[in-house]
Amino acid sequence: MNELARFLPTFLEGFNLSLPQNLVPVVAMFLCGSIVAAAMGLSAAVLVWAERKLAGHFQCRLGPVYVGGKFGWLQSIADGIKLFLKEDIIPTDADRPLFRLAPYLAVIGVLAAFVAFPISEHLLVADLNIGIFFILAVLTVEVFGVILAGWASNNKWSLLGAMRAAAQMVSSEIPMGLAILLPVMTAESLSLKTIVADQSGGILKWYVFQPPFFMAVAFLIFFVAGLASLKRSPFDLPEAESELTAGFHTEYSGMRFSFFFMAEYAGMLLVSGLAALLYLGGWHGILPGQSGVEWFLLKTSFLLFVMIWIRWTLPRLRIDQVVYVGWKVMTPFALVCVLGQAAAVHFRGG
Amino acid sequence: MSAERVAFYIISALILGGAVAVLFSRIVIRAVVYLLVSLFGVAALYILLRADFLAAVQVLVYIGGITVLMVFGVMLTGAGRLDAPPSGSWKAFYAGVSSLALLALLGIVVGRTTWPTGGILPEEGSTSILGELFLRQHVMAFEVASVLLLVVLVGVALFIRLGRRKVAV
Amino acid sequence: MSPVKTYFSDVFMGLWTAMVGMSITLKYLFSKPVTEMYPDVKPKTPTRYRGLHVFEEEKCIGCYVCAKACPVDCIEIGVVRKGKEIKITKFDIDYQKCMFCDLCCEPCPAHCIHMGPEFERASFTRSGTILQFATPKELSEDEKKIEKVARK
Ligand code: SF4
Ligand code: SF4
Repeated sequence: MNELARFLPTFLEGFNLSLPQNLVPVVAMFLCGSIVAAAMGLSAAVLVWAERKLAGHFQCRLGPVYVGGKFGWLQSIADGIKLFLKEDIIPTDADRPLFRLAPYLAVIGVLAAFVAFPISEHLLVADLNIGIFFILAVLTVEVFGVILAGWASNNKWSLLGAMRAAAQMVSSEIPMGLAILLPVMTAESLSLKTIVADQSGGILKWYVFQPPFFMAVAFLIFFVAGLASLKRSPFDLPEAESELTAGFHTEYSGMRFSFFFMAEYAGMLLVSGLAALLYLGGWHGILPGQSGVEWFLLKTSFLLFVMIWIRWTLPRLRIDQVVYVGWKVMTPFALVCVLGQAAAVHFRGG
Repeated sequence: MSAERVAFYIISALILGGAVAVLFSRIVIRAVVYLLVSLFGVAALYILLRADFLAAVQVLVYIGGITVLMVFGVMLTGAGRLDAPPSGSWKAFYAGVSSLALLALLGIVVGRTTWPTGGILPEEGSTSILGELFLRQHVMAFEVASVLLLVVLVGVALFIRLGRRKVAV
Repeated sequence: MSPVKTYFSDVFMGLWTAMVGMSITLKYLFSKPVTEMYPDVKPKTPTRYRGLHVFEEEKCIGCYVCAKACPVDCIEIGVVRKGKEIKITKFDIDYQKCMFCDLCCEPCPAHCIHMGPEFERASFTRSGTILQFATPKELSEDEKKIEKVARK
């Protein structure tokens, strides 16, 4: 089995469905899309449950316990059904078309990013040449959706949330991009598959543990900037329940709200997965020669755990603090790292 | 018609439709969204041309940067709706003349340029070729552009600083 | 401190304090949750818990001391007294008023009213919150005449 995008058309042809030749790629495209969407929805469901459960235990509570037996593992499904059944409210003074468009933009941005997201050597939709760059690019669409949602709601809280989202995104995108530059420089490729392949051969080959440790700093910057771009605590100012009701999605209910919700959790998965791929050796194990999808999942889930851990530990920053951290702390540090790693790559290359 | 051709026409229609809609939209934010459609179309055209890097840059810079900035600007200034343009005023006349002049200029340039066609599409992505060109052959132009941007950045920061000091005094 | 030093120490302290906080929450993660699974698992009330009253009707002498002691007058007692025979016809406590102060139990000469361990007595009606502790009794016409009901 190879890339999904290449495998599916041949797979479909094997069925002799008597489809017109031109339609096969289209059908394959739709199938790819639905597989990605389903995987994303499923992992979001698991994540929501894990988040609630862990949140409980971080606060000496139990978290969900009733739905689906002992550990409440069906909680997210119950939540999902609840969201489905909720009334879909659009405020009278909202900008209706934009109000409707915004959640789709948010979800599509993240969904599209998963196209270039490899899970293991053989499990990926498409190995794009510009993999990581593509992901960065389409992720911005999500932020646009958020900002649009805030504006279209015609609500002060939403607007404030959206403005914060915009300011936060602008200040987190740059250090994130710079931090990504380091693995890209080292592997001399933008393709995530190549970047991971360059880290094969045991834990010491992972980029975080590569002397002169510029990449360890870059990993930290990437993770923090990732949290900021995801609007996760401590950077959850665009939602800020205690100040802005629910921020940019104050006016959203039912399915439209759940789209934002799903985009956030899928985004978490994306950022953790990217951090694992770029810095933690992707699907390569601790010992040389070990590799497999389970390693990737292990690293990603650990990073997800850390994200949840941070969320239930740190209080929210102020917007000026976020912008300060983005522009005056992470960006200069990332720049120094880029220069340092460039020098390291140059001298290694001889 | 090949699938590529069909895609080209659909995308072109999107780009042009988006652009026209921008012109005729009275609500600024909607105009930005139409612009988004148009810019997305351009990115799709790049993909059709196998210029994947350029397409990603298009999305990152224009959609992630420019349109977000525009929305930000609209939100900060509260410019929700545009009034109907004054008809019959000198302003409209000047605007019309300058638009027509721009159209003529662009037309002349498009007409005079010989567009290279029928070249071979690069199979292996354009990133490395672009990098090579930027940092070897055209490194001078590239650096000048970077310095220009840097100057703009520092200049803006300076202006804001000076303005602030005046307010404080 | 020079601004440069402040900057770097701020960055370091930011990371360090985040780490300290996270180590604390990690400890909580592995500590025992304090949640009580209330309707499923009833909590064990402490021995001297002041819950709903427990009334021993056979010991009560109908002396109204408890009703007098009650600061909010929520005990209503009905007694039929015929010589030595005492019939408690009514012993209602209005839990809308009762504040579980234990003042009624202390002066009881017969030690027949106590604070009990139960606490689940929410009701959808006002009358539902008035608990009748005395067993209902058929009264003859004579008895009805000499029945004394008082709240004191
Ligand atoms: S506990 Fe206090 S308030 Fe309640 S019945 Fe006894 S004396 Fe009255
Ligand atoms: S004080 Fe004791 S004996 Fe007297 S009426 Fe009250 S419960 Fe009965």
